[in-house]
Formats: sequence, C-alpha cells, structure tokens
Amino acid sequence: MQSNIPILKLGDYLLVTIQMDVHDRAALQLQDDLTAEISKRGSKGVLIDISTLEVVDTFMGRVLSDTAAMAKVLDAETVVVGMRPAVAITLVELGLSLPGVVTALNLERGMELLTQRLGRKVNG
Amino acid sequence: MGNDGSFRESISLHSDRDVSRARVLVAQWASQQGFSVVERTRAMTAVSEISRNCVIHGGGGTMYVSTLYNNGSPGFRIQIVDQGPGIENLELSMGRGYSTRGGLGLGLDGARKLCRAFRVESNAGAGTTVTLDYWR
Repeated sequence: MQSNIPILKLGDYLLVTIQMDVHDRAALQLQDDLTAEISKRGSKGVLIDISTLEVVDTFMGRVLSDTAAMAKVLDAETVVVGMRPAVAITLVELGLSLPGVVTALNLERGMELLTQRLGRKVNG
Repeated sequence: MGNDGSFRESISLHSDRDVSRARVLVAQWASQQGFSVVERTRAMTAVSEISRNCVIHGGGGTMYVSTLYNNGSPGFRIQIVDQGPGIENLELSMGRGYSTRGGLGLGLDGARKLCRAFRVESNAGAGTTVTLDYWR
C-alpha cells in the first residue's frame, strides 16, 4: 500500500510534503515508503516539509522522531522544515521535544543545513 | 439551533480518518468564533489526542461540539464520549510520560494543558467522557 504522500527526488535528497489532513495510517505508511526509497536510491538527506500541517500531536511527533531515527540508521540525515509558529507554540506547551529531529525554518534553509551536515561528514 | 441560540454538532469516532474529521470540525468552530490561529491549533491538537484515545482505547465513540459562553466570552465545549473499558487509574494516566500502548504518554495530560477547562469522567468498565472548554 502506498501512503499517497509523494516522495520527490531533489538532487541528492528526498523531499516529502506531509498533507494538512494526513491521517494516522498514512503517516505510518510514509515511514515504510521513505525508508524503502532511501535504501533504493542511497539518499543521504531527507527533507520533510510540514508547512501545511496544522497539528503536530504526540502521534505525529513520534512519527517524525521515528522517521528521523530510521533514516539515520540507513545513513541519511533528516531535516523537518516549515513548522508553523502556532504548531511550535503548541508543541512546547504540550511538552513534546521531538527527540532526534533537526528542524529548519524553510526548505531553503533545510537544504543548506543538510549540505553543511553532509559536507562535514565527508570531510571528516 | 436551540431556543437559546445554542448550537450543537456531533461526529462519530471510529477510525483514524474520523480523528482527522474531528480536527477539521473543531478548526471550523474555532475559525467561525474568531479564535486566534494559536488557540485554534491548541484546540485541534487537544482534540486529536483525545479522539485518538477514544478510537484506540475506548473502542470508538462520539464527539459533541456545542456553543458556550463564559462570562460573556463566546466559545465552545467539546465532549468526547466512549463506552469503552474506562481509565483504571486516572491519576496515573494524567502523569507525564504514562502510556499503556507505547505512545509518548503525553496525550491526556497534554490535552489538559491545551484548553481553558478540562474534565475527565471515567470509571473502570463504564466508559470515558472527556470535556474540553474553549472561550475567547
């Protein structure tokens, strides 16, 4: 089953845009699809765009954390980009810290961050 | 529409798609009543947590949204009701980091922090009703 969340190739990276009304099973399916895609393409970086997402609750928080951890063991770095200010406020109030999740303000900064992190890795 | 101008809507909660629908319904209420984006996000997030609990732990149920006035400030009351096994240890469940099914364990307690007033009524074997109030 596909998650219906398209995974785009962006240079050496993968780009996933999570839809605003994503339901739980689709979010979980995304983990399967994304890890398969990383493995198939040997991608070193993943950008997850959550700019249309109005809610990051404990479930979605765990999906983001787990996805970053899965990518990590497949040797890919993940950056979550585009979090809405209201979502950031709610996350903190909720007490969610998104362990292991690297964030950037927008897609452009996320790509810069990935390039930096991967460059450092290559150059030791 | 009731005689007193009150209004009530309900939605059945039986799947993860219903949880999405519950979020959307609450977003509509918050927008119609002129709530800020942050307050709308808080309400959607709290409802997401509680309605998911209802589907996963409570065997499904119903969410009711109705108009509310608190000292003249308009708002709405959300009630999420199930006939499931109930919460055995409510105090423990409200504690940070407690989870029975491998979640982050912040759901119920987190939702409490994201509303103006919060109430849980639950007895083992007799279902659970969670009430969340929002006003401007």
